[in-house]
Amino acid sequence: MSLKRINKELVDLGKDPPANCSAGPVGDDMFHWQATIMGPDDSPYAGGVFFLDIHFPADYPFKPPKVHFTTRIYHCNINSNGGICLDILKDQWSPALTISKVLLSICSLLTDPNPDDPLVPDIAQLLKTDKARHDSTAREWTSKYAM
Amino acid sequence: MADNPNSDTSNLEVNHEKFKQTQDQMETIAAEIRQEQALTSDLMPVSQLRVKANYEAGSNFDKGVSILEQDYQGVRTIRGDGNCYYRAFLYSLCEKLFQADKDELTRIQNFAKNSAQKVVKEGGYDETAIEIFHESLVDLITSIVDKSSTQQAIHKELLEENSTSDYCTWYMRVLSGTQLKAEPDRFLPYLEDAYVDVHVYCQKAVEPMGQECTMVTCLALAEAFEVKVAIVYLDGHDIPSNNKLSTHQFGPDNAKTCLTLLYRPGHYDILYPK
Repeated sequence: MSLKRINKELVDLGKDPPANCSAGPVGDDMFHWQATIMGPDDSPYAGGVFFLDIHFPADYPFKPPKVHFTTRIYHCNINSNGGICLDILKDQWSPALTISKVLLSICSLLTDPNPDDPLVPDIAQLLKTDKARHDSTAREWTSKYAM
Repeated sequence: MADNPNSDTSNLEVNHEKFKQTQDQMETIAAEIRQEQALTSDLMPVSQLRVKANYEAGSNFDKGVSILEQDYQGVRTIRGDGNCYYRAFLYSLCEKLFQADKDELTRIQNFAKNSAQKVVKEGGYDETAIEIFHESLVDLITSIVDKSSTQQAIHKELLEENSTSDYCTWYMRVLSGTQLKAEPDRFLPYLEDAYVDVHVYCQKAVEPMGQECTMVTCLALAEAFEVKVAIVYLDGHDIPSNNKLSTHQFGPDNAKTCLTLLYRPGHYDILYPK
């Protein structure tokens, strides 16, 4: 059943891809995908291409996919291992969500970071106190790691 | 606090560590429950409730079981994994369909078949996301309607882990959610204070597996299927003078199908009237 659902999502992504995102299996293993997100225009990540690794658990879609960035990114909700602090990837996951929706939520997180629930407190602190410096560092990292 | 830039970081690390510990503990408990409790148990005498829960002799729970024994011949317990209401509803509905007349069978089968369109249109659910769950329910009900499955076979099928029972149970959540979203103004006043929006409520409290149901979702599911659900409360309150446990009914009064469930604090099982 998991495989059937994953296949369905892949077909859907082909037919109706979400804006600025793409995703698909890495090799023959349908449970291991790679995704890309283009940095949103209205964010300091604009122009960057960010890669993500996706692992579907055996009991998907009852359990959330494991998603992490493989491209380094300066963001208060994404740590140096690429781990993402996003409720729908944890206790707010439900089978009603799809990879497409997850990627769109991550895009929104790039546009609107959530410094009140940070994974990297230093970055959150800077975002709150000096947004200009925060954005300039984020732009630097984008051109260094994601272009 | 702000003087020490490291304090935030270390607090956060402590919080994350605590969060992880709590999560690990919850996982362990969940694994124990999976090990010890079937998704749906065999039918057993009502007196077993007393034995299994170890009710103190003379307590209101103990007295309540004695009252249940007068009116009910048996009970079927449901795994306590936060999905018990939806799973009890599903199992009990399947059993009732084996006794239902042709009109009722056709009605329920048509409702299940047509529901995919309804949940996408009215509930706003993604067709890709709900399709396999919808198919699972339609297959299950069809196998009862066209008599290709026996009651025993259905019981066995619904015992399988990560299979029909879970798929259909989650679809029950989608059907409840759709019902709530169809009449947001009617249901909103009954949601817990924290919720100001029926969609957000569904997202957080109905759609994720393991989220326990509330009165509102109980009502919504009964109304979605147009069946009556009678819930008998064994909740430790003093026994009323008429020597009956309090019972609440949801769904249309004239419904042909009536499910009877037992409520104990935080949990639902299925009751079998004499």
